[in-house]
Amino acid sequence: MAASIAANTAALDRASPTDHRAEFNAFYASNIGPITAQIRAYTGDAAEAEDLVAEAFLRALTRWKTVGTYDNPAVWVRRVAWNLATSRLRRGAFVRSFLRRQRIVDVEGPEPDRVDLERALAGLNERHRKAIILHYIAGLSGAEIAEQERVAESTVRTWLARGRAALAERLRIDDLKEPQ
Amino acid sequence: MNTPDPMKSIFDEYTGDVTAATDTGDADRLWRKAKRRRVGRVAVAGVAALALAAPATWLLANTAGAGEPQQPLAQPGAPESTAAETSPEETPPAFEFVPDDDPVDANDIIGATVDMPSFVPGDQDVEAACGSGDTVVADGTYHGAGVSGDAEEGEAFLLLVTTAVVTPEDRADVADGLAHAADLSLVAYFGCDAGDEFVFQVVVLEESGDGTWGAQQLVHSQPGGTVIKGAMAGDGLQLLVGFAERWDPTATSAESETEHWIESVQLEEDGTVVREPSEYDYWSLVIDSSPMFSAE
Repeated sequence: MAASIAANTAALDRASPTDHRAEFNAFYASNIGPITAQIRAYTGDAAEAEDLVAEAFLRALTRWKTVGTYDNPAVWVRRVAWNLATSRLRRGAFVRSFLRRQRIVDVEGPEPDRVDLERALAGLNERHRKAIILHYIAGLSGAEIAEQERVAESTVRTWLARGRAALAERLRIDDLKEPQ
Repeated sequence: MNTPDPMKSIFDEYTGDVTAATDTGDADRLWRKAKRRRVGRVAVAGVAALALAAPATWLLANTAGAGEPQQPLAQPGAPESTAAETSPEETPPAFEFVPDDDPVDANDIIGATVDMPSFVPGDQDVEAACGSGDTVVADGTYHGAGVSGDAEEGEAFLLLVTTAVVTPEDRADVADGLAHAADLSLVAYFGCDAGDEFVFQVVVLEESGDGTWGAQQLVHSQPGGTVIKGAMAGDGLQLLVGFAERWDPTATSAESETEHWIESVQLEEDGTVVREPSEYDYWSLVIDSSPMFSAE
């Protein structure tokens, strides 16, 4: 996934410097999916994740002349989206909005596997969950997560190990091995 | 041979599903929203400019002996002139939106991570309650009509963001006539409920480039003593900070008048913070930015 983000930003380099709109739209199309997946996995709520990621992209857009010059603008958007999600999670906003949306609606439900994974993630300690998502969905290494979270790499290794173990138990994966 | 990590395939499948289900083509909606937000900011900036200009004019009139003081009046027409633009879900993209011509505002800071200085450096009780370092900022801004963002005890909340002349570079730019307001130092006014009392600080913010913000503290309130009431840019764009004595709950009614004053605050070349009494009378300006978190 890290490679795909790098490839996505390469598209920026090719865009005309004056064509902010085309440049931003290409960036948006390339990154909206992976970042939404991370935030959805973190919050367990598709609608909230879409709102939060849209807000993060909106902030990037209004400051694109600056953000667009960063080595990897996707990192900026991801960070803002994570911050917004953490802030809302801690303030219980998801619970309130979830309750507001409890109406009977005839729509196709998510696949069972997706629900299982989201439920399993929701049961993890917040830091373990974040480390797992950053590793498996954002494609960050332990060192990169450590740098982003401003903790020691050994701490991240512990979070990942505990997160994996808890997740394996919840998903009933019996043959989990620590990655080499 | 290494055993494949079974987690990886589960997450790959999940990411693929969610990405496929995400609408990747609707950036136009975002552009329309950005335009509306920009128009809203222009309207708010217009109101803020009036709030700044009108009291200053009022003060000038009073000091010039122009008769009975009159409360400043909003100039009819100015804010409303943008109202028509703010409305509907407009037809797509025939507009002139230039990214990055928006100044940073409270929406950019609320929910962001700020490397927060200790609210009261050296005070262990405040540090234990409010913390410092990477902090996700809550909303404490005043929304009008007696409503503000709500913050829980121990959360750092934003009350105000403005730009002002603070650093030597700001002063040089202003002297050269090169400065636009958006290019000046970004100043934020934060508060925190430390349990026994609210504490506040005013800082200069600097974006770190990864979506987080660094902060240098300019002034902070004193537990049990001076409290910060607000901040704003003065007529010369200098940073003004409003202070008050903290209210003494044991004072009698005759003693309950608390003192309020304004200081100008700036940074010297070596990073020293210089505070000087301002020529402004506290009540001549609308500087109070924390009406819902009153602590004086």
